[in-house]
Amino acid sequence: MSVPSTNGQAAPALPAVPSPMELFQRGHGIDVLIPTLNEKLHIEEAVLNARTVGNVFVLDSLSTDGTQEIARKAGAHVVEHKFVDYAKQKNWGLENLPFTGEWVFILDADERFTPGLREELFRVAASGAGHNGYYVNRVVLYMGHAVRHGGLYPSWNLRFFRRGKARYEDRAVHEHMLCEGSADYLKDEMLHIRREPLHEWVRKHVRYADLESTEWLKMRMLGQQGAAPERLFRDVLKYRWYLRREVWPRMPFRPLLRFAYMYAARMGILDGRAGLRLAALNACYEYMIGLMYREKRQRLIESRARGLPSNTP
Amino acid sequence: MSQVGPIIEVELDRDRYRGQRPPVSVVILTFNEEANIADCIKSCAWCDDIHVLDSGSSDQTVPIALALGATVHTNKFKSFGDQRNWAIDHIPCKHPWHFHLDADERFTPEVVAEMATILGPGGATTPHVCFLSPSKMIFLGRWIKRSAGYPNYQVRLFKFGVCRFMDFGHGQREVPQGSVGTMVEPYRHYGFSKGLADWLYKHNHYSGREAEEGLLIRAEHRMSWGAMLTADATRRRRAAKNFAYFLRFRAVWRFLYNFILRLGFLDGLAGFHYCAMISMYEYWIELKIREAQQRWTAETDALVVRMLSTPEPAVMMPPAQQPTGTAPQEARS
Repeated sequence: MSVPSTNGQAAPALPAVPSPMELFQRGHGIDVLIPTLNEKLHIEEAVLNARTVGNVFVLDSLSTDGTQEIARKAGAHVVEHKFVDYAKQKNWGLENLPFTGEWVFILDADERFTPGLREELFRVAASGAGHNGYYVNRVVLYMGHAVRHGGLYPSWNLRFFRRGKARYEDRAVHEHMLCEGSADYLKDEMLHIRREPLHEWVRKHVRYADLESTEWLKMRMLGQQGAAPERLFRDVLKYRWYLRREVWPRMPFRPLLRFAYMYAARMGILDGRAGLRLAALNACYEYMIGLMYREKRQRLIESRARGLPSNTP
Repeated sequence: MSQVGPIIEVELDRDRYRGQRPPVSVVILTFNEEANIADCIKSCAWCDDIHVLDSGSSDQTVPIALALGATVHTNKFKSFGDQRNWAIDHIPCKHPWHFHLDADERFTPEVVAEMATILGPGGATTPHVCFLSPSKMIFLGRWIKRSAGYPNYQVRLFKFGVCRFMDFGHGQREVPQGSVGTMVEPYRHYGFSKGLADWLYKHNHYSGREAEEGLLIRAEHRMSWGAMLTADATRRRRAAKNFAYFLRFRAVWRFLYNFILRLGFLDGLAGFHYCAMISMYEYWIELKIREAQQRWTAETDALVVRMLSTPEPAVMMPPAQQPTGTAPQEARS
C-alpha cells in the first residue's frame, strides 16, 4: 500500500507497516483508551497488548481490586473518574485525557489486538486518507473455542476513529458511537476473552434480567408504546428493534426459541461445547427475564388492586 | 410471582394458646430479612420466648424484630450448621425444646397444637430427642405439593443438649443423641417471598456450595444403593442426592423426576415454573462441578497465546511517564 505524506512535501515514505513510535513521530499516532472497573484479571495483559499499538490510557471507575496499580506498573497512564454510565464515562475520557495521537482506539480490558489487526491499524493510521471512523469485528474466545456461530459473530463496533471525530450517543445502555463523516469496516478482528466463572455470569445476568424485565413491564403494562410498525418496516434497524422490543416479549416458549435460534438456526452447534454452553446460558437468561416479568406484573396488579399508585414498577 | 407479604391463614393470638402452649422456644436465623421477619414473628405469637439470631443485617430486620417483642442476638455467619450450634450454645432459651424457624417460614395453629400434644407439659412426654417436621412450599400463591418434595422433612424441633447440627451442602444436617420422631402437621415455607432476583442470587451461592459437596462426594465415591432402597424417607432422599452427584445431565433428570415422576404437572403452571427453576439451579451445580474439574480457562488462555503470537516480538511503546505519589486527577494536564 502506498503511503501519501501528510503535507505533500518531500518527507521520506514510511515503510508499509510502520512501528507505533514512528507513527507518533509522524503525527499519526494511536492512543488506546481502556475503560475499567475491577479488571485485575485482565488489565496487565490488556495494557501490554495495547502498548504494541500505541500509548495506553486506562480510565478507571474507582476500582477496589487494585486495577489502577497493576495498570500503572504495566505502563499505562491511569486516570480515575467516577462512573455514571458507560456512554458518559467514555465521553468524559475522550474529552479530558491527554491524548497526543491522531487516532483513538477504545478497547475493553478483556479484548486484545491480533497481530493482523495491529498491522491493519498502522496502515490505516499512516495512510492519512480515508475515513474518520472504522468498525472492528470481534471474536469471542470461550472454553477454549473461537466462537464464530450462534449469532455471536460477526460483531461490529465502531472503536477506531480520528480523535475528536466521534463520541458516544448519550444513553444509559446499548450505547453506540456517532461518527462525523464516513466510516469503513476493518478486515481483521480483535479477540474478546471470556474467562469469567459461571458464578460471575449468573450474578451479572440476574441483574440484567431485572433491568430488562422492568423495561418489558414499562412497555406492556404502563402503556409506553414503540413506534408504529408501518413506518418502521422501511428501516431495517428499526424493524429489528421493533421485533425485539414489541414482538419478542409476546412470544411463548422464549427460552426454547432462543436456544433453537442460537444452537440450530445460527449453527451454534459448530462451536462445540462452547456453542452449546452459550446457547443454554442464553436460554437461562431469557427464562429469568420472563419469570421476573411475571413477578413484577403480579406485584403491579396486586398494588393496583389495593389502590396504590401504579405508575412505577 | 412471589407474595409480597405472605398472608397467614389464621391470625394467631397469644390468649388462644394459653394453657396449651407448647414448652418451646423459637429461634429465627436472619440476614437482611426485613421483607419477611414481621410475618414470621407474628406466626410465633403463641410463643413467649422468641429469639432472633441475626448475622449483621444492614436493613430493618433488627428494629422490626425488637418492636415485635423478640430478643435479638448477633453472631457472624459462617455456615448454617455453625450458626445453629451457636444458637444452642449461647442463647439462654427459657424452654427445654427449641424450634428453629427460618424467616421465610410460618407456623400454623395446627403445628402449634401438635407440638403441645406430643411434647406434653414440660416437654417430658416424648421419648424422642428431636422431630422431623414436614413443610409446605408455597410458590405463586400455591402449595407446590408434588415437585417440591413434600413432606421434605427437616429437623427443626429438638431438645436442648441432645441434638446438634453439622454442615452439609449449602444447609445442615442434624446429629441427634437419641431417637428421632416425626411430626404430622406441616409448617409453611414461602421460599420466594423476597422476590425472584433474591432467590436467584441465593441459589447462585447455593449451587457453588453444592458443587463443592458434589466434588467431595465424587472423590470419596460415596454412593449407596442400599440406602436408596431403604424405607426411611430421609435416608433415601439423602442417598438419592448423593447418587445425583454422579449423574450427567442432572438438570434434565431432575426436571423429569420432579415434573413427571413426582406428578409435578398436577400443580399447574406454578408447578411447572417451580420444576424449571429447580432444574436451572441443577444445571448451575453441574456446570460448577465441571468447571472445577476441567481446564477450560487454561484452554482459552492457550488459544489466546496461539492467536496473538508473532514470529518476532512486537514493538512496544515505552511506558507512560506518570508522577508517582500524586492524585490521579492532578496527574492529567
